[in-house]
Amino acid sequence: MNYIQLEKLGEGTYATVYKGRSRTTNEIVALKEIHLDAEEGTPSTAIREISLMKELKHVNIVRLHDVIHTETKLVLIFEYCDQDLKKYMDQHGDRGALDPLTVRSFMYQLLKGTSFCHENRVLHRDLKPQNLLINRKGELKLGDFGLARAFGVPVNTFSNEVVTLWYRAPDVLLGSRTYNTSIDVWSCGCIFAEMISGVPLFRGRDNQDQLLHIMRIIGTPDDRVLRKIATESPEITLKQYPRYPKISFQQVLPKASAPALDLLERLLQFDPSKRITATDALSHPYFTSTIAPAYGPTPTPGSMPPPQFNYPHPHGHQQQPQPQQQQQQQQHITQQQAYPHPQQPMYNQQDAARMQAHAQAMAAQAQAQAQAQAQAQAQAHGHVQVQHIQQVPSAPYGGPGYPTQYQQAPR
Amino acid sequence: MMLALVHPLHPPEHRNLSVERSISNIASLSRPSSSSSSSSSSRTVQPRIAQRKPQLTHSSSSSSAFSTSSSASRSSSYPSSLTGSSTVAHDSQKNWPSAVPQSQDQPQSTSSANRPSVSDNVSAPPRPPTPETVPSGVPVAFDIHTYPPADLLRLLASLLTQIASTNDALSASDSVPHAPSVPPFDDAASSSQSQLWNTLTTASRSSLGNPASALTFHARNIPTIALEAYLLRILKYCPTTNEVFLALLVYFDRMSRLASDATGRTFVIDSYNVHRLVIAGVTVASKFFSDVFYTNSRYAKVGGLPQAELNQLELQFLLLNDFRLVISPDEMQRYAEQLILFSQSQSPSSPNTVPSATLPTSTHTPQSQPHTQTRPNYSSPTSSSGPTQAMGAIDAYGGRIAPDRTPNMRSTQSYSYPQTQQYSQNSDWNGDREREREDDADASSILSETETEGGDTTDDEPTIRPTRSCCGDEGGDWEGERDGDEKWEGEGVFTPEGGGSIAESDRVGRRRGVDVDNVRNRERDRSEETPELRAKRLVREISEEDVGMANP
Repeated sequence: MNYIQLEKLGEGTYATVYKGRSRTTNEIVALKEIHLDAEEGTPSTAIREISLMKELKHVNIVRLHDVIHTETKLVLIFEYCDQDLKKYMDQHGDRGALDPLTVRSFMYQLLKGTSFCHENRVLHRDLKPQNLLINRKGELKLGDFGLARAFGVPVNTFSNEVVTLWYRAPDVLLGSRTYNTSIDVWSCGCIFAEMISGVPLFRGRDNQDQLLHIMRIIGTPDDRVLRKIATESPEITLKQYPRYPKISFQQVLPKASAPALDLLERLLQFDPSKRITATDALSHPYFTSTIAPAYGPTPTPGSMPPPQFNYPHPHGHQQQPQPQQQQQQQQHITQQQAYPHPQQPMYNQQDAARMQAHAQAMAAQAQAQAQAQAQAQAQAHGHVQVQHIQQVPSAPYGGPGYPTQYQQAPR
Repeated sequence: MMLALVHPLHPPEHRNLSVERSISNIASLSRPSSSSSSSSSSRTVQPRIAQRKPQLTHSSSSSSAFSTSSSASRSSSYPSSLTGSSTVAHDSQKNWPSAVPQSQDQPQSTSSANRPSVSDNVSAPPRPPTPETVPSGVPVAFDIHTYPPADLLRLLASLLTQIASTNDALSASDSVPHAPSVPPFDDAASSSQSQLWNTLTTASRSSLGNPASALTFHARNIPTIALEAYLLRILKYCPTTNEVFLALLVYFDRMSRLASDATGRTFVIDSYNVHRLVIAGVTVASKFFSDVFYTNSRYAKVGGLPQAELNQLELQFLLLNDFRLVISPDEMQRYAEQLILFSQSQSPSSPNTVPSATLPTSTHTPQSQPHTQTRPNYSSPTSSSGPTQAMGAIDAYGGRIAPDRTPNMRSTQSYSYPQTQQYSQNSDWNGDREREREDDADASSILSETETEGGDTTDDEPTIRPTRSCCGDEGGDWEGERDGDEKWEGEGVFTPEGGGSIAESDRVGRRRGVDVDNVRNRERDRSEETPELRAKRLVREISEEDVGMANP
């Protein structure tokens, strides 16, 4: 193989992820080894992940570089990302909450990637912080397309066992099998709120509980709305729900700006047909209006913030438990990056870029261990999370394992 | 089946050459002969192919057929009943078994060992993708989603059968003249190839780069079950949506285009590989498109081959498509409409377009069945009479595609087989699957019987044979299942609806009884399914029993 396998980053039910380095370019990659199961052949998650990600080439989607077939396994070569959003929030956030500029940058990139998927007729169906990878340039990338599917071709066999519970749209919770791109938008909304507050917005224990959590905040929709939804998705069976009044998001997320709350409102519409599209959300005033940045240069509206204050994050040195030496080095680099030296005008842009690259390389070295660990956990976490859905009482099968949630069909 | 044994002798490149015409013509086949010129022009290939193009065109206006096959099959039976031309083949076949390892990869090994790969020399100039560029001709109102699945499958079977038989014929006729006329790569072609090549995944490159990959799908014998029956069987036991089946056409087309564009080698669909391509394609497409799909073990049972083999086929299918599984609605619709147009072009009146010069002469009985289970005698290299014969085979079938021809094959089956069991060498297939034994039996080796052959026996028998007559890797699971013979044979789908011979009738009945057990076993297997699906399934299965098993 053209890649040197480095440390293991994580293990899931159907794959093991290693860090790897290209023998030819020295590029660091993630090697996802798919176990070819004797019973199942090539896992459907792998089939989907490969065939969809091959076609989805976008800066905000984890790039699938290559697929290698060895005797007993398939190895997917992915672009390497240092950590996932969940870890990022834990490490860089203020008790998980990210600063407004980072939130805006990540949210924009999340919607950008999601919009690209939708334009290409792909539903991700498992958007959540653990599946959003962040690299050291502050780029956010959608990953883990194992649950994704193409939706252009009307195969009406959609499962409603999709999306990790906390990020699952109410129409899916109601049992819809004819959902569309709006379910990803809902997930984006949940992630948005979570980045702002540091904690998941709706934390239900099971399908029904999750629905109630949602209604307690956005209010129980009136019967007319429910009936309309049920009409549009006849497979839904409605029950009696407690009448919860709507709570304003302002109360829930006191830190959020008005435009942010407005966007959130549009993302988290109970009625899927009322939910804003990912593409439209990108031109929401939240992204186009200027927020006075707390520090650093004002990012271009809607773009990600420049790397220097995005990564390593200003809070990074407080959060990352690192060996003393590395930490000091890290702090040094952080400062260098976070506060570029305006007093050194001889730096033209190229120099600055080079210097930055150098700084990042050093940072990379210093943090390699910690980050590898982070990604490992992230990957592992991702899979655990999926199992979690399956273990909720409402799920018809409790069998562990990634692929099984599709296999409702008889053996 | 003896002729089928001969087939591995054909240099793979022959088949490859003929593929191009066939598969790339999935779209053009459906149109009247005038369209063929456009398709040939859009796919300029090496001289030989171009030269052959017209023939295919003709064939497209007629329908596919195996004339000789039907006569053989009707006689229900044995090598002796085969026609003279097959006898020739028989001789050559005799040499085979000894020369050929009894394993499923035999075709590969044969080809690699015996064949210089001529195909490497074959150049494939860049050409625009056919189906996309082909205007869909007559607009056809066709709602993919609501079209009756069984009807769709009949059309699909008809098209694929025609393609396969056309390629069979071409490969047979190709086997005499040989490939040296093929020009080496010209620069333009090779550079465009290498460009494309670089976009492929490494996994696909290595698969495409190895001529043996395509042979993974190649059965040693032509499966005895007709393609239509095979597809309907899949629909019955692994119901899915029309899109999944239509996707087969798209994927087959992509495979063949990718093979020729990237390697200059072509991928031929013929009667030897079409079944395996179908089951592998259905497995892949279902897993890709649908949230509800079945386990590979089920697809394998329904498809009649060992699971380990299906797993291999599935992976090769993915690799030979370079994992390009996404199909836009437009593309899907286009293929659907082409399929409909094809069926419309199959009206009885159309065959006239075949020039009389190419008409078949004697050997083909016009009323033959299109079913692939029989051995077209043109598959014998020694008997090849060139294109004429090939066309004859096609023409003989004339405009009869269709919905109601299924039962014919059934009557041909003989159950009393000399049993040449070579029990399995395949221990892993054997070992751990007690629970599924009987279940396996139901479908089991529709295909495996065709895979490997023990030299002596019944392999030229144009009927459905019990699995134990197969040998080699796949026979494995039959060991210890000797008493399961009836179970296997009793599989409703394969029992003669037409009632077979009188002598067999009680046998059929006995088997039918056993089959109920199979159904139960299937149910047992399904314990993991959701209540909802289970309910649906049970309903379906009851009717299955009625329909599938109810025989005279």
